[in-house]
Amino acid sequence: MPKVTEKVSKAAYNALQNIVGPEWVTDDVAITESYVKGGEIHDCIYQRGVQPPGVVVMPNNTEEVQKIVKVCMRYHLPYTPIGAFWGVHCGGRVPFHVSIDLSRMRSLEWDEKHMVAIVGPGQIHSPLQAEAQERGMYTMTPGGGSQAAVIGNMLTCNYSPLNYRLGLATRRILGVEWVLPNGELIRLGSLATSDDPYWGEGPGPDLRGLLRGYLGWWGKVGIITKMAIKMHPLFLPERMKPVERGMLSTLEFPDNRIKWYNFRMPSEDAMRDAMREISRCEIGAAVMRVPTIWRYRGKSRSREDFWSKWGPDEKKIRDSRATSSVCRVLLIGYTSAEQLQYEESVLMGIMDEVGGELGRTKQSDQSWIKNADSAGMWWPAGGYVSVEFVVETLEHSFARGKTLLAEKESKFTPPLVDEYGEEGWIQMTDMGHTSYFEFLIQWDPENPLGKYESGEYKAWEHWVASQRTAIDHGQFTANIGSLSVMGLTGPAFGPNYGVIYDKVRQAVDPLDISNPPLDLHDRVIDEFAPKWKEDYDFQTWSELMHDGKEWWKVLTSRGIEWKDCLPEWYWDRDDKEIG
Amino acid sequence: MIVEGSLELKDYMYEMRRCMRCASCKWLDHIYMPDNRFVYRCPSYGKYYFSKVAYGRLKLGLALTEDRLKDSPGMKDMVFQCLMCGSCDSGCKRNLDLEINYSLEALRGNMVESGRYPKQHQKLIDNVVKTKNRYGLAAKDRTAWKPANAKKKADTVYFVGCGASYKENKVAQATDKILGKLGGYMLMPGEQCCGHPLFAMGHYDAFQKQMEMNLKAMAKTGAKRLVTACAECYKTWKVDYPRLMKKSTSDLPFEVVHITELVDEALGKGELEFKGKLDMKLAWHDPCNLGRMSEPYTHWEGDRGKWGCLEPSEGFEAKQFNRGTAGTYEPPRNILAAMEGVEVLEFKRHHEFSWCCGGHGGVPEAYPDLAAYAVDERLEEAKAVGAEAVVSACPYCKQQFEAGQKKRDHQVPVFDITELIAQAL
Amino acid sequence: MQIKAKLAEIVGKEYVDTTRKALLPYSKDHSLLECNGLADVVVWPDNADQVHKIVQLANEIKMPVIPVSSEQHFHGSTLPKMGGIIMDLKRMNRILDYDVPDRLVRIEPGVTWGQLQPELVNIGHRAIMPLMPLASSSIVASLLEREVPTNPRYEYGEPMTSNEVIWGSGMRFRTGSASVPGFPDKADSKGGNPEGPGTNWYRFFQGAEGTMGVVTWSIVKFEYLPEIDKAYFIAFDKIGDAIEPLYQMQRRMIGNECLLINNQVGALIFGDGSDKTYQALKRQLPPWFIVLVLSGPPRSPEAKLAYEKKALDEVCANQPTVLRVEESLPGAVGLERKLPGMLRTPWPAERTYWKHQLKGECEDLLFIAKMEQAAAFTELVTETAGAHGYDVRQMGVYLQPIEQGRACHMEYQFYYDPEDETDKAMVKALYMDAAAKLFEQGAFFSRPYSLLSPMVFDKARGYTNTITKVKEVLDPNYIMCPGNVCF
Repeated sequence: MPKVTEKVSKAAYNALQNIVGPEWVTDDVAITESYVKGGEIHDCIYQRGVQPPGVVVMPNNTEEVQKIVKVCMRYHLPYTPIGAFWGVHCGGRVPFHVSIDLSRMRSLEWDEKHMVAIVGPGQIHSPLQAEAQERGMYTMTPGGGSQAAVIGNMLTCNYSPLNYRLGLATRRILGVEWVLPNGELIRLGSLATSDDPYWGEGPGPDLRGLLRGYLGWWGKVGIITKMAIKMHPLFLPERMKPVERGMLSTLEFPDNRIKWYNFRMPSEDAMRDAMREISRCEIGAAVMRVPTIWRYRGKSRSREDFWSKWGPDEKKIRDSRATSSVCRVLLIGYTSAEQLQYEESVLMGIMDEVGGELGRTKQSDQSWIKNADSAGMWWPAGGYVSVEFVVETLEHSFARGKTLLAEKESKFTPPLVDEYGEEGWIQMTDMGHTSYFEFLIQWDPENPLGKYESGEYKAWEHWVASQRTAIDHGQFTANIGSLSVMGLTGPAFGPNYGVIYDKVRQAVDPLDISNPPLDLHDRVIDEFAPKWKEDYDFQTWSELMHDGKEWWKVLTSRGIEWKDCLPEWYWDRDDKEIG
Repeated sequence: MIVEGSLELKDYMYEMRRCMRCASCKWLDHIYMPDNRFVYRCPSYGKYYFSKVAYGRLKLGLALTEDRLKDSPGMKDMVFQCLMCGSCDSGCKRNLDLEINYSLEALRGNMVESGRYPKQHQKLIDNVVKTKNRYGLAAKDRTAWKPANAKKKADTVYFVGCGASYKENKVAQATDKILGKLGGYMLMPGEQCCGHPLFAMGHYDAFQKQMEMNLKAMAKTGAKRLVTACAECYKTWKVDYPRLMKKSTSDLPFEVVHITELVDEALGKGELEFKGKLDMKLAWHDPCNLGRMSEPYTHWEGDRGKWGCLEPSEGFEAKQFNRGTAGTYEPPRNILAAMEGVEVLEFKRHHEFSWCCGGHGGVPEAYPDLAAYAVDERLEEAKAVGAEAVVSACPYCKQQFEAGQKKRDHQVPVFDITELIAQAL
Repeated sequence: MQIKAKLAEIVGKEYVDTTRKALLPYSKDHSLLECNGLADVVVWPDNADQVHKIVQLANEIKMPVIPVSSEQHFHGSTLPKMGGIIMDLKRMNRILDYDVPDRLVRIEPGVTWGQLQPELVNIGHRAIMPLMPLASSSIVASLLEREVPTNPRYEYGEPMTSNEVIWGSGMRFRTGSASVPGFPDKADSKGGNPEGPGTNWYRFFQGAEGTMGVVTWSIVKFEYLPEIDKAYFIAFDKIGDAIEPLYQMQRRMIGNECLLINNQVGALIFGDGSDKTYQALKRQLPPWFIVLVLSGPPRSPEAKLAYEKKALDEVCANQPTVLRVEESLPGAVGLERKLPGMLRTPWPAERTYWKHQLKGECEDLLFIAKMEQAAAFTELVTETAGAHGYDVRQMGVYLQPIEQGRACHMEYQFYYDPEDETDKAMVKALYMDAAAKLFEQGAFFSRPYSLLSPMVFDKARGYTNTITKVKEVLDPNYIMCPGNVCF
């Protein structure tokens, strides 16, 4: 069997050509070079170590995907599936890997009566939404943006304020057609026993569990070639009209069925009370706490415009920190225009009680319905990354925000942008049972600092440290998936989820060829990308995690008995990795 | 220091590094995404896939500039299988505000400098350089279309362009009629090619020479206004000439006007009136070079400071971004709307999202498959919106549509807007 | 050492029993599945540590473990098909903690609907229930089995969030955001996120009939208790006529509890248990009717009811024949007042379960379908039942819209006398026959219990192979409930 780091052999290349036709395979460096993300934004974390592929292949259907995967197995070629290649996290890390670009598989089929869209892996959100609205339905455009692949996004993130009503992505994944890393084709949900994908669970135990957790596996579990998505009935009699163009383009809201409200809140307690009460009363389509910087970002028309306002306003922002937070609420008359009137009256009643002050806002879809342009977040500073984006309870969101802010301000600001005490974005999910929290950091990539002083490096340190703080405080974190060093964080959660996950995954990917070395098990890294440990700065990892594997000692130093954190039975186990 | 519109690849390191492959250069503006059929803005991607779109080309440009790549069998195609239609640029400026057009133009220049360009371009280059017209035809035949209303001297120069002079005579004749009604015009003595093909293919030195000759000729006329009915000539005179001279459009000693702007203004003032009835559903095709590519050029110099903010040098104001939205979009629409019986339909991709007809950037010469694909897509779009005819404002668009029609079952009449105006007069 | 003694070491000798008397009740349930033989031992653990040790012991001695948490069972899932240890979790019936602001409660598997629901009502909330479950039924088991709630309003998410599970391998594990170190007392996480860590583990033990592991606690969502409720009924002669209005009501998100039943089911759930009432109801109730409850939340409840009622009237007025929205049902005096409460209260322990009132037993043929298939499926099942000699006038039919009418839970109930072997055999034959035909026509058996599992898992071969691989990791010795699902 050839070594995986060797260049794709002529025989393998020919085999790929035979499957898809010569025009759909290339190893030309002028093209493969661009199969990395770039932007110097996510380079520091999510695309750390991403390398151009040796070969790009563009299949057109499931059968071709299956054959490609089998060729990869035969030649022991690590491969990376790509949808829209928006989520950089999936990028291939092994030199000369095969990039399976699924962009040609952009099918879109409908079961209108049952509100099901069936999409191919190359499909993105905006055509889906456009066609859905023609058919009296809608779905949620995720924070990742309209240009994110629907399947890729459903498998990895798929968060937006509309999660408040629409729930988390996994509940919206219906029938699935899936080429496993071992080349086997399986179908999930009602597709398992029929050709109709309208139902997602079962039969029996639900294999959707393997597709993702809170976060996805970035192409680690094979390739979804078709997915049915649950859609929702559109609450509007007609389509929302696009207005303005360029940076200002938006969908205009009709005035009787959908409306934004911005309230300036007098205190954090008032914010908390309002968000909870809105949820308890089951009103609203989205409820969120918007960081001050977002308001500046939203109003700016260029990078220069942003900085001309944000910088000088520091004192004003700091002074009004406690009272500057905006609670932003979207109300929708799902049932009728009267519902909107009813909800508005309930909302005003709640805000009267907690002292929320209604401000002005534009009545249009600035995002989430048709166009969540997360790319637009790039321009203020040039560099940004989310060090956290996690769903837990509302109190957890507030706590996580304070933890991360303290860490950021004490160790990493500057070079990270000072947001004048901002504790992050919070939005209610699952009708207020839970809450989504996101902590974005920014830095100036133009700032000529040394490697270890740069914003990019500090962002990386902050991200790694965020996992330690999660362990320290018993906070849930998005960052314990594919890109977290399994041997360091894996034991803390579950506990030791990495051990069983690895076994489950190996059962479907015995050769470990589906986008290695992701999930970052030592075993996989050693085989596929030994250099990775250097690229990924394992040394920093270990230091930031309190001298490697002994992070639990820090819990003790903080007055938390590690034995309370991991129950006693855990330490008696044979399969534990630490202790 | 940053000099707006530089043609040096190394001057676009910021753009090439900052491109994070968001694919706004590939997909249509999401707010305007019409359906699941007409989703792309980039014909090159629609035809070839892989990363044959601005983000791919910027990554390649970066690798070349950083000297990580030398050459590859597919590099030339990667760069030149592109219509240079500018749609990617307006997409990027919806999000990241990077100078994509400039970067792609600089990348072409870089390839041309090292001799790496399609050999099929050479004939066109030679024609322009040697015969001063893109067809390699005799200079004396440039006015064979028989201008009826041209004066010897006038304030307005009608710059006919190669297309209308040699091939699409109806456009020249119609424009002649229109201008005749609007106070007359003069031709530029010894008119030569504006040089647009040279610029679009990346041959900037040759273009510079062509520009200098044309500017001299224009100066000689003493006219205050240059009118053209060709979108390519329009862009060249209005944008590329001042850009290469490090000036702004507004600094030109004469005004550059497209015939549609002139007619629209005249209609507004009541100086022109349409007669008759057409009774037709027309789809208006925004030529790239009339719309997004022809926003007035504002020269700028400065530096990139903290946070990547652009700081103007002394004597310059804040940079004016050209984002594609300020092109000449409404005049032709107003004109068509003023014609009795005409129902003006929008293509699904319009204004700055307009899909290129495929007749640009040296593509018809080197990659006829891409040119054919692009026009076929546009005609398919015309069909989808229920168009009974397609109308544009550029002789090359018309040629493209007519060529593209031949292979289709469903054929619709194709007009240049000047023909319809002349008819309505 | 004998197994009994080993188990006694773990749980105390009074909580282990190997007598026939103790084992016999576990060898029978309300399903048609026959169980040949008894378990070896029944054990009643008190806590997760004990469960953990029992599973570890079972792995050592390669003995099956069958976790049991409800008093009565309906689908054959808890029958000791290959002997082994019955692990009865009824002592683990603690409500561990309430998180009222987030509307979450952490409960052990022995907590029943009858136990939790009154407590939630006391604090102004309620759990969302399936159609009139037994008060003695385990909530955790119900949610693990994905029983469908009568109130589709809350289907934006999973009713269950984090869990603690002892995998069949003997590994103790916490899922979702409860996986953080220090949970629950020394952590900021409250276990509100069902997902992760890494992968969605909870999906492997949902719908698994105990074959993957034993859940030792679960966090479950609850909702506010409406201030006011109003029940409405819409009657139909044919099931087919009810479908389009249901689609439209659900799409417009009108109401909370919403279901379609026939007069057979109505007569059983609305009756007082007496034959007289049953007969009267059966006579007077319309053949089919939609039950819809409009509920007013904590603020301005009347206003909410008003706009929902208006929308309901619009839907009913827009049908080919204008539908009458009734405030009461003929034959069911005062039902409109009682109904919302009934739908939120489990079936009282002291009364014979409604499904068993008619003949002593009932077999449910249940699956997921599209509402538009309901009429054809009902015709098919009716014909099949009639062909097998079943009195089709006594066939219960329940259609539960799910996810705004995207799909529905269909349930056909066949009542039989458990002492009458002929009757039982006939119902079993028709059940198998009807299931096969329905399957052929596209019915989706998302939880194919006992008799139906070969039919479903044989067809879903790829799925079966892969889920088996997962099983081999989580329960490598196949000790958990052998004979269930496809294992």
